[in-house]
Amino acid sequence: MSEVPASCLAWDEDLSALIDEELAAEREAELRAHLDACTRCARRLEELCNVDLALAGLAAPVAPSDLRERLAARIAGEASSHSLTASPVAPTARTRTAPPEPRPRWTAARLAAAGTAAAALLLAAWLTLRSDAPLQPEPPIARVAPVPAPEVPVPAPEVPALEPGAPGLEPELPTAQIAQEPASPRAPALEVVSPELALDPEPPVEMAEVGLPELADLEEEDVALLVELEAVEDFDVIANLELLELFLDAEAAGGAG
Amino acid sequence: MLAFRRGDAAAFDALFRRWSGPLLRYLERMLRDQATAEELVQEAFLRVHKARDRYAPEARFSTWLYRIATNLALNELRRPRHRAPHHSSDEEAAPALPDTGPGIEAVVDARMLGRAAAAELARLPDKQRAALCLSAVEGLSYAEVAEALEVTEKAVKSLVHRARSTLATRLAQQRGGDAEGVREGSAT
Repeated sequence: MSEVPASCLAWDEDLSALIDEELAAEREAELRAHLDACTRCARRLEELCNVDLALAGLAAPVAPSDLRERLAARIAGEASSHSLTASPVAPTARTRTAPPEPRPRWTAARLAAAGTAAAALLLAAWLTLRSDAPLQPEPPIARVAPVPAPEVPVPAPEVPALEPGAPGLEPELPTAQIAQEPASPRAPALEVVSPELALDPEPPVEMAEVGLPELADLEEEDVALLVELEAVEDFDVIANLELLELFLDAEAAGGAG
Repeated sequence: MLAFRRGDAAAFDALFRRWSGPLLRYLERMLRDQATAEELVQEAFLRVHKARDRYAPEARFSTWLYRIATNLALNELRRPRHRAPHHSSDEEAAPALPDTGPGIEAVVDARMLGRAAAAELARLPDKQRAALCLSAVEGLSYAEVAEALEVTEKAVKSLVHRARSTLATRLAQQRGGDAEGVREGSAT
């Protein structure tokens, strides 16, 4: 039954759709009329139905009784991990290097989601900083680093914009600038993706492969800044720093021009 | 799900009780490894728990859950250890049962068919397998499968048919081969 006769080709996919009750009534009537006249398609329909019978007959796995408890333990672990990350205790780079759980895998989708969410807060904070304390013409890193965290006003109204895709923030986000940044292969995609739906690219690009050597200097102060703003969880920090750097680069380029 | 989003913890338990079984079945069909499937069931519900505020009421919870699970499964299948051909206890030679009558024959036939179907299902491309499992086993509509797989409904129709057609052909060939073997055996 590998070769489908030309006269039956138009019906072939509809055989499955008929089994799945996905055909429109009119098309179904036409197909049934064809089946009355075509033994080949009638036989093929029977073979296709046998597949469903075989699948229905497969033994279903039995969930272990402790599956719910294991999930509860993981949720509790996540909660404690999150509370540690969001702790008001002055964060340092050290707090990032000793998390209670393995670091989540870095993915382009995760970076995109984290980056988009963080962009608004970073931009707001940066604009505030710029208006309060004029930035020096040094490299971008030095312009943010001296700002002590307690002086940073917490932009409470902007916090809801952490939700990816929040429409209110979009006009303020220079995403187009970031996306077109030629010297930034580290920011591969800024499309909004819900992290729970994240599908790794193939092959997944790990941050270790991408490398962010110069961002190490930013880490301590900007982690403090970001956590002060309650912007993101631990795993998002490098993405935020990356975006921060892009903003500062863009500003430096604009100021020079 | 809306109750859970409002803070009703019992609602999360209810969701888990309702959907963990079907989800485990789906992931086990996808991965052919129950331990990994159990891990991914936990991971899927963990993500639901964490992302409850992002749940859009216009989407069915089951579709959202299967979408999360599908992405987890596809990610898992991309790992090197899953790229090797699947081997499962289903595919190992089953002990020969005594052929003592039509009742036993039917049982053996059904078991062999199920074993063959499981093996052939594992050989399908990942998205075809996911589409067929979601549609034919889990009972999702093509529209829901399309949402779970992030493809169009037309693509789902094609994926499901190609998967079902491939399985039908292979199972028919195996049955033909088995029947031929039986005929050869009785002739000697």
